[in-house]
Amino acid sequence: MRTNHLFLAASLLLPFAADAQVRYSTRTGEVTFFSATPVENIEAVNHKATSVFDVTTGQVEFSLLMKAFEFEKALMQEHFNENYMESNTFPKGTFKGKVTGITVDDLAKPGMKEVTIEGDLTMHGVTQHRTFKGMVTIDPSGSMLKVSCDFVVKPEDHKITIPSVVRGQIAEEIQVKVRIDLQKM
Amino acid sequence: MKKRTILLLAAVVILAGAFIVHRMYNERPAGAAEKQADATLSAEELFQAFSADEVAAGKQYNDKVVQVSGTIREIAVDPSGPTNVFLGTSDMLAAVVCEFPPDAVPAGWKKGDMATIKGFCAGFNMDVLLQRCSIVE
Repeated sequence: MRTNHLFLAASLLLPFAADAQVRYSTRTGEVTFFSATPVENIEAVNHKATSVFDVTTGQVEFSLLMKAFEFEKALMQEHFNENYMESNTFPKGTFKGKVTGITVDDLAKPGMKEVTIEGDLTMHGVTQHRTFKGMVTIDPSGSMLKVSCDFVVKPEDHKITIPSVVRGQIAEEIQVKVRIDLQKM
Repeated sequence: MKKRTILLLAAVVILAGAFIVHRMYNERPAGAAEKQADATLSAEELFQAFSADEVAAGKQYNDKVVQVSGTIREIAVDPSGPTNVFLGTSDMLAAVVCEFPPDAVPAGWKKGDMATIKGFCAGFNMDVLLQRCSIVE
């Protein structure tokens, strides 16, 4: 299901399920990845990740455009999209899963909660089942959740081929940082 | 003497080559300001194209400099990122989002104003995204 259809469905259903469903969303989530090698460090940031989190069920969906990652160097951005991620063929990265460790009752208790996020991470057309640890900071008003989650991605796990000539310039483990502010829908 | 001249010329050529390669390697992604628009249309038309057929519209517009005109629905300043200008569409849940460098959006722009903007199209993920934008009018 396309993400905006999910939003539309969520909005249409909201009046009928306002008491039952507690949903948060964003369309300006920040995702940064970092590759560190002795040859060079490569960093890129994406400010347009979209996400919907239903606290009632724990279901979470996340989506971003690969071409929306911005690099310091044009050549790196070009290689990332054309040679490695093949962004024209696989334009999006997605995650669909479940968050445990936070409930609707917790929303009335401002502070930080450690959560577990488990689900399917799809990149470059390859899906991997992953489990991450994350932190959710509950705003005093309960209207915003700040989510942070750090994890590692191995390019070969998603069939991303790194040519041997540049193998030394790209880390075997790419560090990924997710920072999103989810607003109550 | 001749050998010295050849060596000197070779050194100059190598240095010039290294300088060009270094510049190319470190070149930053281009902004839309210095580019001609590859396509000109309304924000609504761009959104409808992606909404109707995301793959076809992606082939037509992604990586291209697209110039769009529309009504400003919202201006959102991200303290840690770009300033986002949302051009409205007929879908209240979707917009054409134009990313500008911080402080690049005119202070006088406000919700309801008409704007014409060009930027590099990155695709469709709820909204159509234009990056490294510049103001046309």
